[in-house]
Amino acid sequence: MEEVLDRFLIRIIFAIFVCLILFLYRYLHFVIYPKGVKQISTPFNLMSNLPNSLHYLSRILGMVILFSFVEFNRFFTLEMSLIHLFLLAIVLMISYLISIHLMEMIVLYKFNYKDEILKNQNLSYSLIIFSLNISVAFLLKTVMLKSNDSLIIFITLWLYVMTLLGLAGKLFIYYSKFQFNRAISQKNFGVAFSFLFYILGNTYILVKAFDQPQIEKYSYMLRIFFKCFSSCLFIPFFIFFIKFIFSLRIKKNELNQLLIDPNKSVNFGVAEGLIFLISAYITSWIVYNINLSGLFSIL
Amino acid sequence: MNKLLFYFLSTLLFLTLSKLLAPDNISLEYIKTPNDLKKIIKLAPASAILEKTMKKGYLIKTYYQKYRILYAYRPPREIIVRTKRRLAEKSSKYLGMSLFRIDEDKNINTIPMPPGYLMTGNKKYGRWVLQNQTYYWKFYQTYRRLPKYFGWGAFSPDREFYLKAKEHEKAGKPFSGLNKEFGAEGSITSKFLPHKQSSSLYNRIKFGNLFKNYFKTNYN
Repeated sequence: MEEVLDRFLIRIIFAIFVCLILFLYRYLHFVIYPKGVKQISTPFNLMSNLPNSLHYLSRILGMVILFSFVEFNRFFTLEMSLIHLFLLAIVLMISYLISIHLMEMIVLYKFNYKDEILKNQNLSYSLIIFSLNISVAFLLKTVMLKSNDSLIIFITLWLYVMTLLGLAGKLFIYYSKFQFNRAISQKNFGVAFSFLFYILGNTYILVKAFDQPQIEKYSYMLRIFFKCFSSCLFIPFFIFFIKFIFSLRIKKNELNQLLIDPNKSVNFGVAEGLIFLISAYITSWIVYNINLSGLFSIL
Repeated sequence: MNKLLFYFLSTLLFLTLSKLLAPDNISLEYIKTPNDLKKIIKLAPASAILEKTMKKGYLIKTYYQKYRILYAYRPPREIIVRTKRRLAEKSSKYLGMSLFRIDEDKNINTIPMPPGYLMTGNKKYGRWVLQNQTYYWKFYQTYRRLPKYFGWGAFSPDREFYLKAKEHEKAGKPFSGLNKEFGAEGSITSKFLPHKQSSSLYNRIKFGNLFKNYFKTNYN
């Protein structure tokens, strides 16, 4: 009975600890991201502004996803473990907030939080932010797992993954038929759905690229680069053949109505994004799950 | 059309970068002839003994060779190089033999010869000893480990072996021993080569055998 109670109490201590971390995150969020001061300075009304709620809650969700990989094993004392987790949480929070700030600067450089969320209540904009927050969380989680508790390795891989994700975000305009900035400013949902699936597909590929055994840093990073490059070559191939095999067609006159007709734009955005996501999943199978190394035959 | 051209150029760029930077290829030297081993073997005297010839790939094969580099004054080392198909196939019959030798005067010889030929007959490393009316080569105590590295086992070259090898070398012909002791089919090579040539699991799995085994296991 004592042991059961002991374990239960430790879990309660950890639950309180996580709540403290989240409380700290709330204020750290304000320090690194001063634009969102209204989100924390006053009680947040979830019913007043849907884009704002999505924007705010997606950041909390991202942080929780990021924190979910942290493991606790009773090798050390409870105090030692809590200090370790605290330091880890600080590093994760800072890197996560800087990352999402960077991604917004890269992808949504023409927009700002005040105008789009508080004034215009642009749900399309907040959906894109939501997708970026989730993507960054999953990628940081992978990088943290691969950095073997080394801050230098973590910073190197973090910068690397941010560059690759930023590049992927920038390349969206070459993939999509939507005029990205114009569509967002017109609150077009199609572009938001298309971007959501597009960035999730890219995140999946990047997570798979980073999730390989690393022995030597140079060769590991080079391998990631080549895996991503070969993915870039296979994705258009699959996009073309998926459209061809399943006879997915769009009439040319309907394509011109993308920015005018909201229903058609959502329809098109979802289709465009999902085709990318399907292609990304098949590509990841081709690039990552077919292991061609190590088969030597002797002459 | 522009998209196709861009895709083609991207593929070309990917293949070029992979060729230039791929971690798998960076550390391996490429040799077209055994003479190219001089890029790797900088110290003399030394001899390169072919230990293994391997190939990798499903549709387009890449060929590799494993050499044991033997020096007179330092421990041996093993290297793996990439090579051409022609050289890999041609030299696979000279397994366990010396395909590259560089003497003290930096003269290079690439005629396939028995291992240890470079040091046999050189009075710096040993002497001829008379046993049962035949002269056999014996290394000095300092070099007593060399026969083990050569994969000789109990073999000691006699005078006739040495002279015959010299004759072949002058004529530019490979020499695998008086009774073909060395090479892929050689009795000494197959017995004493440090890493004996054996077919891998990959080679042993045959499509027909898979079905045979399946029926044997399930229906017998």
